[in-house]
Amino acid sequence: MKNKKSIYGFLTEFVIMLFVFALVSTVAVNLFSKGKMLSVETIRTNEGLIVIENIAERMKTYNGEDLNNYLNDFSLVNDNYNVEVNVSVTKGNYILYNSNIIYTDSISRNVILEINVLSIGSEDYD
Amino acid sequence: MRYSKELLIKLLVYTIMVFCSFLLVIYASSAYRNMIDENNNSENLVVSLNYLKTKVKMSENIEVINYKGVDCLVVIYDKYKNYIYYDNNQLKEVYVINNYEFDLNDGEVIMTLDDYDLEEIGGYINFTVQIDDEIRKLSVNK
Repeated sequence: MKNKKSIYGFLTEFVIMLFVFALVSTVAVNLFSKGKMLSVETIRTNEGLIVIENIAERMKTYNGEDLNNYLNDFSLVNDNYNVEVNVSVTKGNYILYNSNIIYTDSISRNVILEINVLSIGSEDYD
Repeated sequence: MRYSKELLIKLLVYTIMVFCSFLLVIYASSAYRNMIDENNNSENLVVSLNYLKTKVKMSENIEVINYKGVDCLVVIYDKYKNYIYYDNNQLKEVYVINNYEFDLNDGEVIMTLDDYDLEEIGGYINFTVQIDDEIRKLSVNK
């Protein structure tokens, strides 16, 4: 009888310990997964920054060319990201191209970065 | 005798528990280290490329030359030149008075990289940097 009691005591203690352990593990795993998500997001943002800088450098000298040919050297869509470039034209004494570059995450479809680049066209297009 | 057998089983169960916890901590620390390394690599690639881009953008007179078999980005000022180059897995820079012959080891380390490439094509300077498997390319308009 005494022996049974001792085993029950041990098992109760052990189950409580397992419960606490599971609780702490759940919190820890949750924190780790959040940390991992933030890390992936930071890496994506850094990658996007470089991609967008490359395209922005190119768009600074844009002068009304066919956009598909002009950005032929760049990969605008891949498994990780999707880059959209929209150009609006303002005509006055000179022609002004405003390029809106949007970097989107391919999976979540969230816009990670967005910038505008201005370039002044030559008089030929006026 | 029976008492000691019970104690032994209890101890064995606790030991297994402690061992599992230990494995979990090791796994978690390894995962955390990997996460930090990945972040660091990504940051270092961006920082090195932005450093090079800033150099190009800030300078009015810049050229790419081959010095002692190494491609160097040279920022030319009135009385001195700033050489930026890759040597022994390190991106280095050195300031020298015009035409002074320096040793590649003399440079000050900017960043440690696994690979670096520099080329000038039609008004653009293309930089390629690599840390581990991560490669980033940046094209800067002169």
